[in-house]
Amino acid sequence: MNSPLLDIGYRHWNGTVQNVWVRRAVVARHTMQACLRGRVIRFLVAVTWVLSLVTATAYFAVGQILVPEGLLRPLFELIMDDKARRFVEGISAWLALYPDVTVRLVADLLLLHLNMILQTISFLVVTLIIPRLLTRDLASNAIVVYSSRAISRFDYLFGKLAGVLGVFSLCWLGPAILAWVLGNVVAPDWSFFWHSRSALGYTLATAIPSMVVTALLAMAISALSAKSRIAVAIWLMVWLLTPVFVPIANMTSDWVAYLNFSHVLDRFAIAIFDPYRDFLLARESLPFFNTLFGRLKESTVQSFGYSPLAGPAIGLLIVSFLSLLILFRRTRS
Amino acid sequence: MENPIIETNRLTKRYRDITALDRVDLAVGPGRIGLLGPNGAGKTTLIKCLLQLENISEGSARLLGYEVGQEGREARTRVGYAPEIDCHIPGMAGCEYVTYCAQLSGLPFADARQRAHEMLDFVGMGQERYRQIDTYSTGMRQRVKLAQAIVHDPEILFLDEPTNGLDPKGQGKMLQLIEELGARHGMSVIFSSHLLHEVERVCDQIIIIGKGRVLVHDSLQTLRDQRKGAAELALVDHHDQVLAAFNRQGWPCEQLTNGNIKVEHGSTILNPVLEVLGKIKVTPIEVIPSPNALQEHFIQALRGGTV
Repeated sequence: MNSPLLDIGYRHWNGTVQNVWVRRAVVARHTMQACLRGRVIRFLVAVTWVLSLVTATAYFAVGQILVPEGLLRPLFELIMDDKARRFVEGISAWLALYPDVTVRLVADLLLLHLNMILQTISFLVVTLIIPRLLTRDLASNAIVVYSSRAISRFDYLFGKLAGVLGVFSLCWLGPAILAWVLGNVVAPDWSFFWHSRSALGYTLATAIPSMVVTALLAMAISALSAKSRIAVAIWLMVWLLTPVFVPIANMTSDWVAYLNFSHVLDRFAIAIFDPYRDFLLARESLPFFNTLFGRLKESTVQSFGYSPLAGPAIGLLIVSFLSLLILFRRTRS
Repeated sequence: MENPIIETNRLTKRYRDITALDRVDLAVGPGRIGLLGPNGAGKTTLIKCLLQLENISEGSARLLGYEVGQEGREARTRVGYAPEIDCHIPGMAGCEYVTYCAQLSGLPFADARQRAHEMLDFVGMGQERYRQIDTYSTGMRQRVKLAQAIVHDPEILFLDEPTNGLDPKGQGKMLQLIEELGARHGMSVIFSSHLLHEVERVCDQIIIIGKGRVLVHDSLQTLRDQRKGAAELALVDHHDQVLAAFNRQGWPCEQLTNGNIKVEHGSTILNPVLEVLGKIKVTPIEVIPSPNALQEHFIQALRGGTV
C-alpha cells in the first residue's frame, strides 16, 4: 500500500450542505467540461464564432451600402453597373421610407441563414460529444455514483441537459446573439437595434426550443447504448439517413418528411422566422420590389419561405416525449 | 427499538418472477452491522432498495427516519455507499473524482477539495491520486470507492463487498479502516459480505440473509455464545471404545464417514467430553467444538435452508 501524502486521520465535516440547484449546476458544469475537452470540439466552437463575425460583417456591409452616407457606398457605386446601382438606390429609397421593414427583412434573412448553419455545426458537435453525455456513465456504472447521492435521477438528467445546453449556447445561441448585437453596434444607425428586434426574438424563439429538443435527443441516443460507437452510429443514422424521408414525402404524404429530425428543425425555423411574411410585407410596401419579384409564382415563394408551425411543433414535441421516455427508462441504476 | 437507523416493514422486491427480497422486517440500531449471506441472497438488493436505487415492489422502508421513496434525497444526503461493482466517472483523476462526489453530496468546492484529499490520505492513497482512475489497480479502486463514500461525512456507510479483489494485506487494511470508522468515529456501517470471518472481525450486529429473507438478526456476541453442545473427535483408533463410553453417558453419538466421531454432549464447554476420554485413556488427535450459532446460521444460509 502506498504512503498517504499527509494522513491526519478521519475528521468530521461540520459545514452546511448546499441546495439541490447547486448540485445540479455541478453536474452541468462537469458535463460541459467533459464535452468541451478536445481540439476538434474547440475548433468547431471557434468556427461558429467566426461565422457570427461574418454575419455581423455582412449586416454591417448591407447597412453601409444602403444608407446614402454609408462607408461602402462610394466603393459600391464604383464597382457596380447601372442595374445594380438602381437596385441599391431602390432599396435605399425603401429604407428611407420604410426603415423598419428593410432592416427587419435583412436581419431576419441573415439570422435565419446563420441559425441554419449553426444548427448543422451543432449537429457535428453532437456527433463528437454523444459518448460523453450518458454512454460512458452507463459503461462505467457512474450512474450508480450519482443515484446513491443526494441527487435524484431527475436532478442528474437536468444537470446533464443544462450542460449540453451550455455547449449549444457556445456554438449555436451565443454566436447568433453576438451576430445580432455586433451587427447592430456597427450599423449606421442605432435605430437598427429597434427595427431588427424581431430577428432577435425569432432567433431566441427558434434556437432555444431547437437546442432543448436536440439536447434531449442527443442524450436519449447517448443513453441507448453503453458503447460509444453504437451511440454515435445511431445519431449519424438519425441525422444523415432520415433525409431520405423528404423525397418519400413528396410521393406520399407531407407528414412523412417530419420523420427527418433536421427537416423538422428547418421547418420550425422557417415557421418562426416566416420569410414569406417579410416578402409579402416588402412587396406591399415597395412597388419596386413587386416589379422585381412579381413574376414569381406564389407557390414557389411559399415553398421557400413558408411553413405551418403545427407540423414541426408537433414533431418537436414527439421527439421530446420519446427522448424523455428513453432517458428515464435507461438511467435506472 | 429507539431511533433505529433502518426500519423495513414487509419489504419486498420482485424482478418479474424472481423474488429477491421477501417480506423483510427489520429494525436496525446504530453500530457496525454485518449483512451476511451467500451470493444472490439479496444483500445488494436490500441495500439498493434502502438507497432507492431500486423501486420497492411491496412494503415500506425508512432510512434514518426518512421514508424511502418519498424522502430519498434527504436520506441519501446522510448516507455513503461503496457499491460492489466497479463504478467511477471516466476521464477523471482520483482526487478530481472524490472532489466531484463531495460536491454532488452538497459540499462547497473548497470544502470538497480539502475533504477529498483528507479522505484519500485516510484510505492510504499517495501520489497516484493524481492519475486517471482508469489506470488504477483493483486495490486502488476499492480505496477510492471507500473515499468517495465517506467524503461527505455520512452517518451511515453502506459497503457492498468492499474487500473484493484485494490481496490479504489490502483486505486487512480495508477492514481496519472500516472498523475505525465505526468504532472511533461513530459512523454506522452496513457491511455486506459473503465472508464470515470479515464480518466477525468488523461488526457488532449480524443480519444473515438467505433467499431474500432475513434468517437471523442479533448481536455478534449473542450469536457467538449460542452453541449447540456438540463436538467432533478425530481419533487414530479405539473408535468402538469411545462410542461405547459416550453411550454409557447417554450422549447421542455416531461415527462419521470421515472416521471422526460426532457426539452431542449438551454442554457449552468441552470439559465433560475430555473427562470421559481421560477415564478410558484415549487421546484424540483433534477435538472440534460444534460451530457457534453464527456459523451454523451462516452454513444454513449457504445451503439455502431456513433457520
